[in-house]
Amino acid sequence: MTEMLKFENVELYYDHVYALKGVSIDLSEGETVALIGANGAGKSSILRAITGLNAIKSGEIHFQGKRIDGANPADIVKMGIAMVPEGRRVFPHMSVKDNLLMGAFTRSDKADIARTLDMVLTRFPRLKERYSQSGGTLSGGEQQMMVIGRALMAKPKLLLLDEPSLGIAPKLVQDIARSIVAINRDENVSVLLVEQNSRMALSISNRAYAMSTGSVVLSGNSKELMKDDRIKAAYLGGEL
Amino acid sequence: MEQILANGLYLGAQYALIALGLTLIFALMNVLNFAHGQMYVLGGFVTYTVYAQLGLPFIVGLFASALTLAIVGALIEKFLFRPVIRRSSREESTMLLAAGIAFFLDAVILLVFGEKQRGVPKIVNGVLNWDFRLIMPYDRILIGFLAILAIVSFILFMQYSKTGRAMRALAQDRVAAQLQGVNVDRYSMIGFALGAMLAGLVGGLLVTITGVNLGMGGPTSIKAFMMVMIGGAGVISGAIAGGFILGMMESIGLSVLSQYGDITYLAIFASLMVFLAIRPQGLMGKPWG
Repeated sequence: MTEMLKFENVELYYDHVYALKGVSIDLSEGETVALIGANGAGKSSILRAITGLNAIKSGEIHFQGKRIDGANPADIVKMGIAMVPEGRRVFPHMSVKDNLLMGAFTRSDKADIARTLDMVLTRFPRLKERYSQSGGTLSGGEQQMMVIGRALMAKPKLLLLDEPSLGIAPKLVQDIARSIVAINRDENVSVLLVEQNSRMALSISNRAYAMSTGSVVLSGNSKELMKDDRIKAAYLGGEL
Repeated sequence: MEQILANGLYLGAQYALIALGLTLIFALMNVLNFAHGQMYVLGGFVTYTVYAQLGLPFIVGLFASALTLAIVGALIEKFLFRPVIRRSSREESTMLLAAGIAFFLDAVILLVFGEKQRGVPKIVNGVLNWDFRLIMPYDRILIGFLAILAIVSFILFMQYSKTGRAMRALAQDRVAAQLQGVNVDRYSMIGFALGAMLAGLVGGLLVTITGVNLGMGGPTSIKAFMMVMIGGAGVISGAIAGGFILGMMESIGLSVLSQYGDITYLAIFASLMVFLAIRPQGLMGKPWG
């Protein structure tokens, strides 16, 4: 398998407080990798470092063999990395259509964009029903589908998902999880998934990294991690 | 009655165009552009120079005004606001900068164009007279029409073009817009240029009716802020509503209250205070409608 993302010894600080202290992770083409851990463990900081929203202090980030740390967020999107941010961040006063079209901002081939739009609307038929409604009027679950669709509109090679289950009705969490699996399988997209819902994250990923206070404490095959006593105790509430 | 409505519409269209530029800059960058009135005055002087001094067609003057201010706006964003915003997250910094730019532009206008009131030859002659119920010079009708045309084009541009969509996205959620690949620096510059351009365009339009002089900058900025406050800051529909409401109030005030002296703006300010006490966010007070 070819390596897609490599995160080497990265340190990241917010002002003077560290968020990541020497984190290394990697992801190969076609994989779904989960980052699990409590609030403040540094999972989202990894995603923010990859997209260039936050500058790293030391270390290196490579995407498809190219070094991307220090690049402009807009250029990183162009390289093929799309992110679904925490809290969804829909454009509240834009129609579902315009929200989705914003996802294709870096692309210019209109026919190709139309094909992707078709794919997204087939995958999330609810969005078709709400097509001209403004994004802010959608339910939490629908908004989550919309922002996943928005990210797919960029035709990414790597999809970063930050807490897609947060604030979503439990019944819909299943649907979202299923769509993530389907997207990874059908659209030739690798997925890096950040989740506090560790059970969901481990059940749909190939590998996972468990994080605590800015460092990776455990990593490995998701199925094996699911059975690991330490993971059970620390991340799954011990009730498995 | 018809006369008051027509005057209000004519004024309102100009005002709305000024307010649109101001609200666009505010929505995109969270900057209160105190220099907006000075940009308007500069636009007036450019059209005066091109049309009255150089004798070129009026439409060339109008384009020159729009283009000049677009360039001035882009430069101001790139070399003044951008570095300040990067270094300081306090809103006072950009407010002070904007106030400084207002004084600076005043000084530049004084040096280059002087302190005299300037007018230009009429662009069209003749007066529309509808049974003495509505009397309006043709040039006012033309200018009003051009302003409405500019407003409609601006709305269509914001609504349907890719650049317009990107600016709306940026105004609604800066981070999310970045994550779609919108380059914040570039689009802030485009937005500032566009806002300044609208101010310059109105300056070029209105110089044909009211002429232009150095002292118009400050009061124009104040009027622009009033319109934006009436409509709700950062909202396109609010700026347009605020523009037409102020235009209408001024028109009504001038014909109804003039017998009591020059109290139109006193009345407008008093009612604005009451209105804002009841509805501080303005009519459409939410970020971008």
